[in-house]
Amino acid sequence: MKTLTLALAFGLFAVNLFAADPHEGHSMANPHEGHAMPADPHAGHGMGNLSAGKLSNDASTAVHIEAIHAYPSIKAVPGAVYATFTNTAAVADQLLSITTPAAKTVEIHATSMNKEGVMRMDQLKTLPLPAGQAVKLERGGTHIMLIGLKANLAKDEIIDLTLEFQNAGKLTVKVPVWPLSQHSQDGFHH
Amino acid sequence: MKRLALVATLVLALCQNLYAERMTLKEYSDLGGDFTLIDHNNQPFQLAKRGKIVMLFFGYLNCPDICPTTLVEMIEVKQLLGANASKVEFVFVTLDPDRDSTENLKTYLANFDPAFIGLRGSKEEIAKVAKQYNVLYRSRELRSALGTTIDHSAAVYMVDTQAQLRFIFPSKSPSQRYIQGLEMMLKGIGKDTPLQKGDSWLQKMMK
Repeated sequence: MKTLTLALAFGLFAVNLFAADPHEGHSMANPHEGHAMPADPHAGHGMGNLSAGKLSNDASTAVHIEAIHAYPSIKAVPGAVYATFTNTAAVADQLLSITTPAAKTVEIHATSMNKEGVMRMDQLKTLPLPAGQAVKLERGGTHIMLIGLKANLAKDEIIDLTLEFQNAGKLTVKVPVWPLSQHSQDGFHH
Repeated sequence: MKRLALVATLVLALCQNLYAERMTLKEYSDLGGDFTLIDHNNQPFQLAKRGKIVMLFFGYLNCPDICPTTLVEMIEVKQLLGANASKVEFVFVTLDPDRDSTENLKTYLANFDPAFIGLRGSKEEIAKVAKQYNVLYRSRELRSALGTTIDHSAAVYMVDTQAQLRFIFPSKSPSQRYIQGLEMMLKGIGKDTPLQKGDSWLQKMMK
Protein backbone atom coordinates (compact mmCIF):
# COMPACT_ATOMS: atom_id res chain seq x y z
CA MET A 1 0.00 0.00 0.00
CA LYS A 2 2.78 2.32 0.95
CA THR A 3 4.57 1.53 -2.28
CA LEU A 4 1.47 2.26 -4.27
CA THR A 5 0.97 5.60 -2.58
CA LEU A 6 4.59 6.41 -3.17
CA ALA A 7 4.43 5.47 -6.84
CA LEU A 8 1.23 7.45 -7.29
CA ALA A 9 2.68 10.45 -5.53
CA PHE A 10 5.79 10.38 -7.64
CA GLY A 11 3.80 9.98 -10.83
CA LEU A 12 1.73 13.00 -9.99
CA PHE A 13 4.79 14.83 -8.83
CA ALA A 14 6.29 14.32 -12.25
CA VAL A 15 3.11 15.63 -13.84
CA ASN A 16 3.26 18.65 -11.60
CA LEU A 17 6.90 19.23 -12.43
CA PHE A 18 6.10 19.24 -16.10
CA ALA A 19 3.05 21.41 -15.62
CA ALA A 20 5.18 23.97 -13.83
CA ASP A 21 7.46 24.33 -16.82
CA PRO A 22 5.77 25.64 -19.92
CA HIS A 23 8.38 24.14 -22.24
CA GLU A 24 8.45 20.73 -20.69
CA GLY A 25 4.70 20.83 -20.56
CA HIS A 26 4.41 21.37 -24.26
CA SER A 27 6.94 18.71 -24.90
CA MET A 28 4.86 16.18 -23.03
CA ALA A 29 1.59 17.29 -24.49
CA ASN A 30 2.90 17.86 -27.97
CA PRO A 31 0.46 16.11 -30.28
CA HIS A 32 3.16 15.78 -32.92
CA GLU A 33 5.36 13.66 -30.77
CA GLY A 34 5.07 10.02 -31.58
CA HIS A 35 2.32 10.52 -34.14
CA ALA A 36 2.40 10.02 -37.82
CA MET A 37 1.78 13.35 -39.43
CA PRO A 38 1.63 16.86 -38.06
CA ALA A 39 -1.93 18.13 -38.27
CA ASP A 40 -0.71 21.43 -39.58
CA PRO A 41 1.71 21.22 -42.49
CA HIS A 42 2.88 24.75 -41.69
CA ALA A 43 3.60 23.96 -38.07
CA GLY A 44 7.10 24.55 -36.88
CA HIS A 45 9.63 27.10 -37.90
CA GLY A 46 8.95 28.35 -41.38
CA MET A 47 12.33 27.48 -42.79
CA GLY A 48 12.48 23.99 -41.44
CA ASN A 49 9.55 22.33 -43.16
CA LEU A 50 10.70 20.11 -45.93
CA SER A 51 10.16 16.65 -47.18
CA ALA A 52 12.62 14.20 -48.58
CA GLY A 53 11.54 11.60 -51.10
CA LYS A 54 12.97 9.90 -54.12
CA LEU A 55 10.06 11.42 -55.99
CA SER A 56 8.64 14.52 -54.46
CA ASN A 57 5.10 13.19 -54.73
CA ASP A 58 5.97 9.65 -53.72
CA ALA A 59 4.52 9.29 -50.27
CA SER A 60 5.84 5.75 -49.94
CA THR A 61 9.39 7.00 -49.33
CA ALA A 62 8.83 10.34 -47.67
CA VAL A 63 10.41 11.85 -44.60
CA HIS A 64 8.97 15.11 -43.42
CA ILE A 65 11.47 17.42 -41.73
CA GLU A 66 10.09 19.93 -39.34
CA ALA A 67 11.51 22.83 -37.33
CA ILE A 68 15.09 22.07 -38.21
CA HIS A 69 17.42 24.52 -36.49
CA ALA A 70 20.89 25.03 -35.08
CA TYR A 71 22.02 27.15 -32.16
CA PRO A 72 24.81 29.72 -32.02
CA SER A 73 28.21 28.31 -31.23
CA ILE A 74 31.82 29.32 -31.33
CA LYS A 75 34.15 27.75 -33.86
CA ALA A 76 36.20 25.99 -31.19
CA VAL A 77 33.32 23.84 -29.94
CA PRO A 78 30.74 21.68 -31.72
CA GLY A 79 27.36 23.02 -32.73
CA ALA A 80 24.06 21.18 -32.40
CA VAL A 81 21.13 20.78 -34.80
CA TYR A 82 17.64 19.69 -33.81
CA ALA A 83 14.57 18.78 -35.87
CA THR A 84 11.58 16.50 -36.01
CA PHE A 85 11.69 13.78 -38.67
CA THR A 86 8.41 12.18 -39.58
CA ASN A 87 8.56 9.07 -41.69
CA THR A 88 5.26 9.14 -43.54
CA ALA A 89 6.00 5.95 -45.40
CA ALA A 90 4.66 2.50 -44.61
CA VAL A 91 8.15 1.09 -44.12
CA ALA A 92 10.91 1.99 -41.71
CA ASP A 93 13.62 4.35 -42.91
CA GLN A 94 16.79 5.67 -41.36
CA LEU A 95 18.96 8.72 -41.55
CA LEU A 96 22.29 7.36 -42.73
CA SER A 97 24.59 10.33 -43.00
CA ILE A 98 24.75 14.09 -42.87
CA THR A 99 27.17 16.58 -44.38
CA THR A 100 27.48 20.35 -44.34
CA PRO A 101 29.89 22.84 -45.80
CA ALA A 102 29.85 24.51 -42.37
CA ALA A 103 31.68 21.73 -40.51
CA LYS A 104 34.27 19.06 -41.04
CA THR A 105 32.21 16.20 -39.64
CA VAL A 106 28.56 15.70 -38.79
CA GLU A 107 27.49 13.00 -36.36
CA ILE A 108 24.36 11.93 -34.56
CA HIS A 109 24.71 11.75 -30.81
CA ALA A 110 22.35 10.81 -28.02
CA THR A 111 22.49 12.27 -24.53
CA SER A 112 21.28 10.04 -21.74
CA MET A 113 21.35 10.03 -17.96
CA ASN A 114 22.15 7.03 -15.78
CA LYS A 115 20.66 6.40 -12.37
CA GLU A 116 23.49 8.26 -10.64
CA GLY A 117 22.45 11.41 -12.49
CA VAL A 118 25.48 11.26 -14.77
CA MET A 119 24.92 12.52 -18.30
CA ARG A 120 26.68 10.79 -21.13
CA MET A 121 26.78 11.15 -24.87
CA ASP A 122 27.06 8.35 -27.38
CA GLN A 123 27.36 8.37 -31.11
CA LEU A 124 24.57 6.74 -33.11
CA LYS A 125 25.60 5.18 -36.41
CA THR A 126 22.23 5.96 -37.94
CA LEU A 127 18.98 7.46 -36.78
CA PRO A 128 16.16 4.90 -37.11
CA LEU A 129 12.89 6.35 -38.39
CA PRO A 130 10.04 3.89 -37.74
CA ALA A 131 7.22 3.88 -40.27
CA GLY A 132 4.56 6.45 -39.67
CA GLN A 133 6.29 7.95 -36.64
CA ALA A 134 7.83 11.25 -35.72
CA VAL A 135 11.31 11.22 -34.22
CA LYS A 136 12.06 14.36 -32.32
CA LEU A 137 15.58 15.60 -31.79
CA GLU A 138 15.65 18.00 -28.89
CA ARG A 139 17.88 19.45 -26.20
CA GLY A 140 18.98 16.92 -23.67
CA GLY A 141 18.27 14.04 -26.05
CA THR A 142 19.30 13.02 -29.53
CA HIS A 143 21.01 15.70 -31.56
CA ILE A 144 22.97 16.23 -34.74
CA MET A 145 26.45 17.42 -33.89
CA LEU A 146 28.52 19.67 -36.12
CA ILE A 147 32.14 18.91 -35.29
CA GLY A 148 34.97 21.08 -36.53
CA LEU A 149 32.98 24.20 -37.39
CA LYS A 150 34.67 26.29 -40.05
CA ALA A 151 33.42 29.53 -38.51
CA ASN A 152 31.39 30.70 -35.53
CA LEU A 153 27.68 30.01 -35.91
CA ALA A 154 25.82 33.22 -35.27
CA LYS A 155 22.13 33.80 -34.64
CA ASP A 156 20.06 34.22 -37.84
CA GLU A 157 22.70 32.65 -40.07
CA ILE A 158 21.58 29.85 -42.36
CA ILE A 159 23.64 26.78 -43.12
CA ASP A 160 23.10 23.99 -45.66
CA LEU A 161 22.75 20.47 -44.38
CA THR A 162 22.59 17.45 -46.69
CA LEU A 163 20.79 14.49 -45.21
CA GLU A 164 20.86 11.04 -46.70
CA PHE A 165 18.04 8.65 -45.87
CA GLN A 166 18.10 4.97 -46.69
CA ASN A 167 14.79 5.05 -48.58
CA ALA A 168 13.86 8.69 -48.92
CA GLY A 169 17.13 9.59 -50.59
CA LYS A 170 19.23 12.68 -50.29
CA LEU A 171 18.02 16.14 -49.48
CA THR A 172 19.73 19.44 -48.79
CA VAL A 173 17.92 21.71 -46.36
CA LYS A 174 18.51 25.22 -45.08
CA VAL A 175 19.07 25.24 -41.36
CA PRO A 176 18.50 28.56 -39.59
CA VAL A 177 20.50 29.37 -36.46
CA TRP A 178 17.93 30.15 -33.81
CA PRO A 179 18.50 32.38 -30.79
CA LEU A 180 19.71 30.30 -27.84
CA SER A 181 16.56 30.86 -25.86
CA GLN A 182 14.18 29.70 -28.59
CA HIS A 183 12.82 26.20 -28.03
CA SER A 184 11.54 23.79 -30.64
CA GLN A 185 8.15 23.89 -28.99
CA ASP A 186 7.90 27.61 -29.61
CA GLY A 187 7.67 26.84 -33.29
CA PHE A 188 4.48 24.86 -32.98
CA HIS A 189 2.29 27.79 -32.02
CA HIS A 190 2.01 29.79 -35.19
CA MET B 1 -8.23 23.18 -14.19
CA LYS B 2 -8.41 24.74 -10.76
CA ARG B 3 -8.93 21.31 -9.26
CA LEU B 4 -5.94 19.94 -11.11
CA ALA B 5 -3.80 22.76 -9.74
CA LEU B 6 -5.03 22.00 -6.23
CA VAL B 7 -4.28 18.29 -6.57
CA ALA B 8 -0.89 19.10 -8.03
CA THR B 9 -0.08 21.41 -5.12
CA LEU B 10 -1.14 18.82 -2.57
CA VAL B 11 0.91 16.14 -4.25
CA LEU B 12 3.88 18.45 -4.43
CA ALA B 13 3.61 19.15 -0.72
CA LEU B 14 3.33 15.43 -0.04
CA CYS B 15 6.36 14.68 -2.16
CA GLN B 16 8.44 17.28 -0.42
CA ASN B 17 7.58 15.58 2.83
CA LEU B 18 8.52 12.20 1.41
CA TYR B 19 11.81 13.59 0.23
CA ALA B 20 12.42 15.20 3.57
CA GLU B 21 11.84 11.91 5.32
CA ARG B 22 14.32 10.16 3.13
CA MET B 23 17.05 12.69 3.73
CA THR B 24 19.29 13.24 6.64
CA LEU B 25 21.18 16.48 6.82
CA LYS B 26 24.25 14.69 7.99
CA GLU B 27 24.79 13.26 4.54
CA TYR B 28 25.05 16.72 3.07
CA SER B 29 26.84 18.69 5.71
CA ASP B 30 30.26 17.90 4.24
CA LEU B 31 29.31 18.97 0.75
CA GLY B 32 30.34 22.19 -0.89
CA GLY B 33 32.59 24.81 0.58
CA ASP B 34 34.98 27.49 -0.54
CA PHE B 35 37.43 27.20 -3.43
CA THR B 36 39.55 29.42 -5.64
CA LEU B 37 39.83 28.94 -9.39
CA ILE B 38 40.74 31.21 -12.32
CA ASP B 39 37.95 33.00 -14.17
CA HIS B 40 37.59 33.60 -17.92
CA ASN B 41 39.45 36.92 -17.58
CA ASN B 42 42.38 35.16 -15.90
CA GLN B 43 41.45 36.64 -12.54
CA PRO B 44 41.26 34.59 -9.33
CA PHE B 45 37.72 33.69 -8.31
CA GLN B 46 37.22 32.87 -4.65
CA LEU B 47 33.73 31.66 -3.89
CA ALA B 48 33.53 32.98 -0.33
CA LYS B 49 34.59 36.48 -1.38
CA ARG B 50 31.95 37.09 -4.01
CA GLY B 51 29.36 38.55 -1.67
CA LYS B 52 26.67 37.15 -3.94
CA ILE B 53 24.56 34.06 -4.29
CA VAL B 54 26.28 31.75 -6.76
CA MET B 55 24.54 29.35 -9.10
CA LEU B 56 27.23 26.87 -9.88
CA PHE B 57 27.41 24.10 -12.39
CA PHE B 58 29.97 21.91 -14.07
CA GLY B 59 30.40 20.89 -17.68
CA TYR B 60 32.65 21.13 -20.71
CA LEU B 61 32.51 23.09 -23.92
CA ASN B 62 32.59 20.11 -26.27
CA CYS B 63 29.25 19.10 -24.82
CA PRO B 64 26.89 20.77 -27.29
CA ASP B 65 23.70 19.50 -25.75
CA ILE B 66 23.13 19.42 -21.99
CA CYS B 67 25.60 22.19 -21.07
CA PRO B 68 24.00 24.79 -23.36
CA THR B 69 20.62 23.61 -22.12
CA THR B 70 21.62 24.43 -18.57
CA LEU B 71 23.06 27.78 -19.67
CA VAL B 72 19.77 28.61 -21.35
CA GLU B 73 18.00 27.76 -18.08
CA MET B 74 20.31 30.24 -16.39
CA ILE B 75 19.31 32.94 -18.89
CA GLU B 76 15.67 32.27 -18.04
CA VAL B 77 16.35 32.32 -14.31
CA LYS B 78 18.19 35.61 -14.64
CA GLN B 79 15.27 37.14 -16.52
CA LEU B 80 12.77 35.86 -13.95
CA LEU B 81 14.84 37.32 -11.12
CA GLY B 82 14.44 40.84 -12.49
CA ALA B 83 16.09 43.39 -10.19
CA ASN B 84 17.38 40.62 -7.91
CA ALA B 85 19.56 39.28 -10.74
CA SER B 86 22.34 41.62 -9.60
CA LYS B 87 22.56 39.61 -6.36
CA VAL B 88 23.26 36.34 -8.16
CA GLU B 89 26.28 35.14 -10.11
CA PHE B 90 26.05 32.36 -12.71
CA VAL B 91 29.20 30.27 -12.75
CA PHE B 92 30.26 27.48 -15.11
CA VAL B 93 33.23 25.32 -14.08
CA THR B 94 34.91 23.36 -16.86
CA LEU B 95 35.65 19.70 -16.22
CA ASP B 96 37.85 19.70 -19.32
CA PRO B 97 40.60 22.24 -18.56
CA ASP B 98 42.94 20.68 -21.12
CA ARG B 99 40.67 21.60 -24.00
CA ASP B 100 38.73 24.55 -22.60
CA SER B 101 40.99 27.59 -22.63
CA THR B 102 40.05 30.76 -20.74
CA GLU B 103 39.63 32.46 -24.12
CA ASN B 104 37.18 29.81 -25.33
CA LEU B 105 35.28 29.93 -22.05
CA LYS B 106 34.96 33.66 -22.43
CA THR B 107 33.73 33.71 -26.03
CA TYR B 108 31.50 30.71 -25.50
CA LEU B 109 29.76 32.10 -22.43
CA ALA B 110 29.41 35.54 -24.01
CA ASN B 111 27.04 33.87 -26.51
CA PHE B 112 24.69 33.23 -23.60
CA ASP B 113 25.32 36.19 -21.35
CA PRO B 114 28.54 38.22 -21.04
CA ALA B 115 27.96 38.35 -17.27
CA PHE B 116 28.19 34.55 -16.92
CA ILE B 117 31.46 33.49 -15.35
CA GLY B 118 33.61 30.64 -16.61
CA LEU B 119 36.12 28.98 -14.30
CA ARG B 120 39.04 26.70 -14.91
CA GLY B 121 42.08 25.45 -13.07
CA SER B 122 44.57 22.62 -13.26
CA LYS B 123 43.18 19.11 -13.54
CA GLU B 124 43.97 18.58 -9.86
CA GLU B 125 42.28 21.80 -8.78
CA ILE B 126 39.17 20.95 -10.79
CA ALA B 127 39.12 17.42 -9.37
CA LYS B 128 39.28 18.82 -5.85
CA VAL B 129 36.35 21.19 -6.38
CA ALA B 130 34.36 18.46 -8.12
CA LYS B 131 34.93 16.21 -5.14
CA GLN B 132 33.81 18.95 -2.74
CA TYR B 133 30.53 19.18 -4.62
CA ASN B 134 30.22 15.47 -5.34
CA VAL B 135 30.33 16.02 -9.09
CA LEU B 136 30.79 12.67 -10.75
CA TYR B 137 32.76 12.83 -13.99
CA ARG B 138 35.10 10.84 -16.13
CA SER B 139 36.66 11.12 -19.58
CA ARG B 140 35.75 8.52 -22.14
CA GLU B 141 37.13 7.95 -25.62
CA LEU B 142 34.46 7.94 -28.28
CA ARG B 143 34.92 6.44 -31.71
CA SER B 144 33.84 9.77 -33.03
CA ALA B 145 35.41 12.90 -34.48
CA LEU B 146 34.80 14.33 -31.03
CA GLY B 147 37.52 12.19 -29.51
CA THR B 148 37.07 12.44 -25.79
CA THR B 149 33.73 12.99 -24.16
CA ILE B 150 33.18 13.66 -20.49
CA ASP B 151 30.37 11.91 -18.68
CA HIS B 152 29.32 14.12 -15.83
CA SER B 153 26.57 14.72 -13.34
CA ALA B 154 24.59 17.74 -14.43
CA ALA B 155 23.31 19.38 -11.28
CA VAL B 156 22.99 23.04 -10.41
CA TYR B 157 24.35 24.06 -7.01
CA MET B 158 23.11 27.11 -5.18
CA VAL B 159 25.63 28.61 -2.82
CA ASP B 160 24.95 31.49 -0.43
CA THR B 161 27.09 34.56 0.21
CA GLN B 162 28.96 32.67 2.96
CA ALA B 163 29.96 29.93 0.47
CA GLN B 164 27.51 27.53 2.12
CA LEU B 165 25.90 25.06 -0.24
CA ARG B 166 22.17 25.45 0.16
CA PHE B 167 20.39 23.73 -2.70
CA ILE B 168 21.12 21.14 -5.33
CA PHE B 169 18.88 20.92 -8.37
CA PRO B 170 18.97 18.41 -11.19
CA SER B 171 19.64 19.90 -14.60
CA LYS B 172 16.44 20.58 -16.56
CA SER B 173 14.61 21.68 -13.43
CA PRO B 174 11.78 24.05 -14.21
CA SER B 175 12.99 27.65 -13.87
CA GLN B 176 10.41 28.23 -11.15
CA ARG B 177 12.16 25.69 -8.92
CA TYR B 178 15.41 27.62 -9.12
CA ILE B 179 13.51 30.83 -8.41
CA GLN B 180 11.91 29.30 -5.32
CA GLY B 181 15.34 28.37 -4.00
CA LEU B 182 16.83 31.74 -4.84
CA GLU B 183 13.96 33.61 -3.21
CA MET B 184 14.38 31.65 0.00
CA MET B 185 18.05 32.51 0.00
CA LEU B 186 17.44 36.18 -0.78
CA LYS B 187 15.05 36.33 2.17
CA GLY B 188 17.59 34.57 4.36
CA ILE B 189 15.25 31.65 5.07
CA GLY B 190 17.05 28.65 6.52
CA LYS B 191 20.43 30.30 6.45
CA ASP B 192 21.59 28.39 9.53
CA THR B 193 21.06 25.06 7.82
CA PRO B 194 23.78 24.03 5.40
CA LEU B 195 21.40 22.42 2.94
CA GLN B 196 17.71 23.18 3.29
CA LYS B 197 15.88 20.11 4.43
CA GLY B 198 13.25 18.92 2.02
CA ASP B 199 14.37 21.18 -0.78
CA SER B 200 16.87 19.08 -2.59
CA TRP B 201 15.44 17.28 -5.56
CA LEU B 202 18.52 15.24 -6.23
CA GLN B 203 18.74 12.45 -3.72
CA LYS B 204 20.38 10.04 -6.11
CA MET B 205 23.37 12.31 -6.56
CA MET B 206 24.10 12.26 -2.89
CA LYS B 207 24.62 8.58 -2.25
